Amino acid sequence: MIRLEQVHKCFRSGKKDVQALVDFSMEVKPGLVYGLLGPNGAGKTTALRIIATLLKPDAGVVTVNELDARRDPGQARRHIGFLTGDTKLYDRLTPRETLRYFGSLYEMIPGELDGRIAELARMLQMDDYLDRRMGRLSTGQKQKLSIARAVIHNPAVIVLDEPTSGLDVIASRNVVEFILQSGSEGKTVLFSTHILSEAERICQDIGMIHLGRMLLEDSLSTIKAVHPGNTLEDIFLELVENHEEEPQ
Amino acid sequence: MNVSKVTAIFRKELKDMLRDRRTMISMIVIPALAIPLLIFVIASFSMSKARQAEEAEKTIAIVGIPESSLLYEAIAATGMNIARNDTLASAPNLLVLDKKLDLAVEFPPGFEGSVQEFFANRLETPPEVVLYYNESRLISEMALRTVRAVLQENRTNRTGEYLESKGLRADLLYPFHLQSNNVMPPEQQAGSQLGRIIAYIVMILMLTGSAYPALDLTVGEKERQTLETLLVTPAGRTDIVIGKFLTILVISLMATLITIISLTVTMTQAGSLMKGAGDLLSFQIGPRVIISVLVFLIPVGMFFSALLMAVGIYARTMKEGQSYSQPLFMLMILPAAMSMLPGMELSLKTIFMPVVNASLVIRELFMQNWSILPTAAAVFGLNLLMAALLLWVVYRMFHRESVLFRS
Ligand SMILES: Nc1ncnc2c1ncn2[C@@H]1O[C@H](COP(=O)(O)OP(=O)(O)OP(=O)(O)O)[C@@H](O)[C@H]1O
Ligand SMILES: [Mg+2]
Repeated sequence: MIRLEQVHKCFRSGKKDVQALVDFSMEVKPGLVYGLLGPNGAGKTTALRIIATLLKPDAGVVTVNELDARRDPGQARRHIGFLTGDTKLYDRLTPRETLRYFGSLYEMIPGELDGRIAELARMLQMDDYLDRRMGRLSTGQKQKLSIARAVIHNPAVIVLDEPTSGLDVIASRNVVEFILQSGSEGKTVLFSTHILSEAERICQDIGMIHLGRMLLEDSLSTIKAVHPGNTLEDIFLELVENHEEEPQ
Repeated sequence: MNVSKVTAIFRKELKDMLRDRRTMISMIVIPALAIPLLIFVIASFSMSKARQAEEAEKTIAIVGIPESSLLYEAIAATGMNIARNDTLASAPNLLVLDKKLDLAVEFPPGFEGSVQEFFANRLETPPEVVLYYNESRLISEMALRTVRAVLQENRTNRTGEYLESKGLRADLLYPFHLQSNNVMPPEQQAGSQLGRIIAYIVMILMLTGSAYPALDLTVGEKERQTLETLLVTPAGRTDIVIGKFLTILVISLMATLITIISLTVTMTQAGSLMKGAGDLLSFQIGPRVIISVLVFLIPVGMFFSALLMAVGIYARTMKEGQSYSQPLFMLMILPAAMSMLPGMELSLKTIFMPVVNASLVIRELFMQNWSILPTAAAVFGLNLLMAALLLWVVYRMFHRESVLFRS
């Protein structure tokens, strides 16, 4: 479970203040896949980084698995698996070394860790290259390892920031399968994207963010019922127009 | 701070760095190969210069006395080439300046007569012989030394003969003997010459040895987009800073150890490999020196590591980090070079100059001057304090969102 309540986040870059999140609330329920949708610069990455405790909000409450992420970020991180489309891996380590390293940072005991590595290797079909240097792996192989790295500690909450960006069809299908499977295992899955059609295929819940504000948050089925015949894209554009007409 | 996480980070970073060819080059190849090479080149160059000057034919001019005089013959007997007076194009001192001559000996007019007058007490001051030489030329200095020795011997002989002619003993010239004994043990003599340059080399290699890992582990990780994966783990920022800091420190100390060992081997082998290099290079560095220098260098390495780490965290790209560290290198190399200057000694003033103080202590340690140990301890403490201060700055920076996520 992830809950954000009235979160504010402002970046100071130079003399200008950038309001990245304004009075931002959202809730991601376990067992469902939640898609956070918005155009470039909407505040998706900022929201996800706040959940992952990489950034501290200026105001508001952030709850991850019933833990106050602001007050106890170290504890909250144990329950979160975080993956972004552009995070990379250590080229000079092998997949096994990488997974052992991250496992040890999550304080997994060696026996448990090796079992988990074997399980993930089987699940993601990584057995063939588990002991090869990362620098020599293909993009798709690296992507699988990135997924394994993010969930080495079997977290209840999985947060993915545009996880399919820059991937080819096969590699992004691996990611989508992983998202769907995690959802069906009862995990809390939150992912962000600006490709609305992708969200339409895999999400149960949708949040639409624009200029740091949550414009709409509901289940995909409800949204579709309210706007029959429209694609998510149509709905989003309509919302943005309405939002900009509102005097603020 | 969590010890097991710090250990995990340290072990991973060290493994990662040791697998990097660039670390190997800055840590092993340069100290182990470049240093001996540098020393051999310098030593053989200065030795061959000296030998060249010794073997080269020296041309001198003698003006003011006839070729038939005994003094002229005595100088000629040294085997130096004496330019004929009628071929001299200008004043002898100018010819020395122009390097046409290596030395010019100028006797005043009526020199022999004046000497006799002086013995007969009819002249108040003795005549003056002027030697023109060029101090910047080794060959000129050698000619000067040779001719002066001839003239001094001639002068002593004349006085001896005069005393005997008066019925006195010739050895009355020397009512007492003079003996100067150098109290500095031989190993320290070599150390004082080489200690300066060694201290400098060690400091510079320690700095360059820590620069690459410090940048790679901070801005390098940022640039390769792996930093976020580390920040989302339960490892605290403190654990990350300390784990990385220890890695940099260990690598820079390893580079230093290799430098010192390589220097020691070079020094001890040079004497036997190069004939004549013995005096300059037969320089014993015992385990006591190596250990004391290494221990002393720990806080210095901490200082360098923290300094470069701060640069690395602040920089946005590896390139930016490198261009920030250039002026920093200059800032460090200068004081280290300053400590090579002859007048620089440990004092109440120099003790507070970062880098200078450490270079001076290392120099004394290489000279096996154990009496400076209390001063060394004070400098050790000062460097430790500075390193701690810088590490705290690094720690603060690592907690700042605006520094870590600069875009
Ligand atoms: N570290 C930072 N310093 C200053 N401004 C920032 C920083 N990070 C984000 N911003 C600004 O905050 C706003 C939201 O950015 P954010 O990265 O959250 O958007 P996004 O929805 O993830 O966009 P994209 O689709 O491009 O990834 C943008 O205007 C961005 O310029
Ligand atoms: Mg983003």
